[in-house]
Amino acid sequence: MDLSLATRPEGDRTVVEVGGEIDVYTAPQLRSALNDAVADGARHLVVDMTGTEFLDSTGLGVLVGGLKRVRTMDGDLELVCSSEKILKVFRITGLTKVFTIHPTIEEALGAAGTTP
Amino acid sequence: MSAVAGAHDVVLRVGGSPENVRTARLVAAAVARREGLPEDRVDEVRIAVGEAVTWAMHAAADHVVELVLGPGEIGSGTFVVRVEGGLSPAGPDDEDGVTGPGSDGLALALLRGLADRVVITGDTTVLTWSDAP
Repeated sequence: MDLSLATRPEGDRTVVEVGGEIDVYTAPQLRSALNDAVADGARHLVVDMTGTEFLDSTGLGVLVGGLKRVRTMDGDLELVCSSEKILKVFRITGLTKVFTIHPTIEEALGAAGTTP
Repeated sequence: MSAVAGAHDVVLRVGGSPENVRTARLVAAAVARREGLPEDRVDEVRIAVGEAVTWAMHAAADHVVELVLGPGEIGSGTFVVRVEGGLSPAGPDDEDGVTGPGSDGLALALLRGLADRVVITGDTTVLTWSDAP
């Protein structure tokens, strides 16, 4: 199960859909996708993890790195995730306090782009 | 170096290619399931073993990691994973210095949050789950 990545614009947001397993082997691909989006001018990123089945600390590191990066440009990076398994990883590491996590993509796109 | 293993243990040696971490996770989950851990705890084993193997790979000079997985003491109702080799405090992709098993790293937080007991000595990491029947 490799990583699938798809980036698309949604109004002033840029959605990066991530499917499969994010780990030490695939995290570099996610970092490239986020970096490419920012290089293309994206400032308000939504990482849709609805199709993500696994996430480890290297994946978390890439997401934290991406968040830091867009924040320096007055942007934001929000997440979409409803899987209890994946949410647990955010909770254990305390990153639920760092990221805005929406249960659905509709909610993420409907919400005002606020950072916690 | 060859790990000491009991009759019910599974010993796994993985070379340093990052794709092997996934294989180690799959094997760990299979052995945990075989030992009767409930499915939510099997998921914890999968994540924790992935973390331990990832960071042990960075630490090992030859990047080869050896794991021993199996029941702890017979009758103790535990599932134990022993990862030989130390854990690297940071890896090549740890750009922000936040992910590794350093004192406040995410990896260590995950290990501690997932396993019931985590004992890290200089050269082994022992993870214990105590929900085996």
